[in-house]
Amino acid sequence: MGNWVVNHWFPALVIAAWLGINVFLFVYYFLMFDMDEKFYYTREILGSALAWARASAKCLNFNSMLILLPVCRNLLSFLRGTCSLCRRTMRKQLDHNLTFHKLLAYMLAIMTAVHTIAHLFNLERYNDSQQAADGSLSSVLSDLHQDGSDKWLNPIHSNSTTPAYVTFTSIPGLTGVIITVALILMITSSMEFIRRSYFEVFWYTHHLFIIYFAGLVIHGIAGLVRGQTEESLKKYSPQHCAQYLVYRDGRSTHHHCKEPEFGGIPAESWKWVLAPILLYVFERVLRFWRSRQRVVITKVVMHPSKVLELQMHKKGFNMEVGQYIFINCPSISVLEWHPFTLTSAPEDNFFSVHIRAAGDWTENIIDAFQQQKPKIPRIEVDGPFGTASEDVFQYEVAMLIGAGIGVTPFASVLKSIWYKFQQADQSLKTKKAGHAVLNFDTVTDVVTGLKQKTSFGRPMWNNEFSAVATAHPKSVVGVFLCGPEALAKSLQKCCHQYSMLDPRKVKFYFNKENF
Amino acid sequence: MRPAPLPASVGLRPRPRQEEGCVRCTWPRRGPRRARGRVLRRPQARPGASASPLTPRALPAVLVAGGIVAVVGQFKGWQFAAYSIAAGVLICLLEYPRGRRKKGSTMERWGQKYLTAVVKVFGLLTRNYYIRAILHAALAVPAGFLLATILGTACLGIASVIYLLAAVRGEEWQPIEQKPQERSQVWTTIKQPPAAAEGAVPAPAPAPAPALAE
Repeated sequence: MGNWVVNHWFPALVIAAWLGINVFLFVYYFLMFDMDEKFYYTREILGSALAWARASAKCLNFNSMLILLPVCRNLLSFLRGTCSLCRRTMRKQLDHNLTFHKLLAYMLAIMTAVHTIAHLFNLERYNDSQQAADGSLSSVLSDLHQDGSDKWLNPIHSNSTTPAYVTFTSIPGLTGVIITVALILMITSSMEFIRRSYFEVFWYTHHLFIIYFAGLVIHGIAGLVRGQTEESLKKYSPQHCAQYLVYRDGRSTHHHCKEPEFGGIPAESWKWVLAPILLYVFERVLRFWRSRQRVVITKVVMHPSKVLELQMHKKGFNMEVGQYIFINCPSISVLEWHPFTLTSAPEDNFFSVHIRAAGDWTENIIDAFQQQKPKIPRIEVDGPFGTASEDVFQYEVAMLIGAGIGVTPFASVLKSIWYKFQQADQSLKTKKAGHAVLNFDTVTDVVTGLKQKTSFGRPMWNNEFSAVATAHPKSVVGVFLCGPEALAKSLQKCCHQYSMLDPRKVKFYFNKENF
Repeated sequence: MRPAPLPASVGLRPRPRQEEGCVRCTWPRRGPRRARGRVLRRPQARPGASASPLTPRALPAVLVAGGIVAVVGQFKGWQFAAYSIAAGVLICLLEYPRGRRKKGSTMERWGQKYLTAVVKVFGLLTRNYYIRAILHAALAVPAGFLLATILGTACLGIASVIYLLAAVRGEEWQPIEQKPQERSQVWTTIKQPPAAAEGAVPAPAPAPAPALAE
């Protein structure tokens, strides 16, 4: 538990703050719409569905504002760079941007459901009270100001219509349906199953967010949610005049009551989302500009088992260990960008990636480089992104565990360690690095040229950990993993088991999120 | 302690395989793998993958949800909503068993085999994607008369289009069937005790029995 707190206090804090703001917004606006006198008459018709709809709308605005920010990669890189004074644990949270993005999306889905259901009730009640002729307060209110002025309360002006018709002939109704369908499509096409097997479907469908944001901004401009205007409220407050409206015979306490007048709440979604939209537009423009920078491919190596190594050079490219880049090959697909971990060390005079055939795009790019007709295809690069894995160098003893495909970040780390040794870099604390490669490919093994023996097969983690603990009884050991979740769980357990409580003795720190 | 100097093109250099039968490392697959951090490759549509997993179960669920709201709220025309709940549940059940991919293996959903048996019984009606597309479109229409379920109509319409596209591509639903376990075969092949490993010292031959004295 203690280890969990140490490792996760910052993300827990961020999520708690985010949830807290959501709860605050929901409760505050719920109470406002449920109790404010301004909406007394509105509530007469709609009941508490008004408050549910408005409170969820505020949360929708808030989360829509935030959701674009975690996907602004370049902005995050900029923050990471400028925030070098912040502790690394805080900067590392920027790597969880996609997790946060998904969390925001789930909250959007929940709030959309609440908002839609509340408005279904609202429309039904508006329609019912417009059609009712029983002289009740709600039917009287619905008939007010139907003369073409803008002071009405009930947006439905006809006795013989249906909520469906009203929805599709009003701006908020139509935009609401459109953006809800867009949101449903975006969320359903982002399921892990589809992302893993049909990435292009996910990527292209996700661009419906443009429709979502456009619809969101337009959604509120008609001002269909109405409350009593300020001056009407001052003169004819509902407390005194509600009776008058029903009886109209002077039974109210103030004889000078007249009909109340209503006004719409102005649209405010644009105020929430304007800045993030501009930031995101800038981000896309920046990605495009960076991708236009010339990339020179200095070496192409075809490894067995369909692994392509590309060594490249780009002006002004600075990388750190463990970072990744996005690669685009216009001759294969103009719009697709795919991430690859950098396998070269920062000390190299080139940067490289290893691309393994695992689907349409990767197979096409490997074919293109094998045939090279008429010449080497052009490559565009964006990046590098990701928190540098400099943590590896801060531990006296580092255990790097790469499962199968996960060995690539470590190639970069190990090469960098080698270079630092060569250059006798004083800041390198690492005295010993052990590399365990879990190999599932029987044709080729991917091993670096280091003298330290690399073992094959699945290690017995208990043996490994106890061996390291015995060999370095007073050290702080960093355990780094790039591999599957099940492995992460067993490694975490081992870290807890073999760490001594005494701070002078051996301690294992599990860095799950580093890669 | 200096490591050995790295060769010029240092990196992931293949070495000739030395050991036969390297343990192929697998870890228990619980559905699609999560990618932690940056992975080497991004998987794309595999050839032979079918489009039917693209119709997520969330789409009919929208229909059911809208129906429930209208029935609970007793909206005008709530009978359409009651119908929508029934239609939505039917479609959910029909969609639940995941179809088998043409190539490769497919992950079954939890408890899918019971529904697979039922869906299989209807033969062509459930196998063919043209029929599924028409079914979705037809079931969607009555729900379009009520606002609460109109979103469900839109979603079913989209599902219908997805099925139509899949049908045009020649796909159809094939049940995922468990292959019968071949346990009995293994036992029948164990007739001989394990032979000595190569290079092992052979056990000394038993001393010949002393000749019986005549």
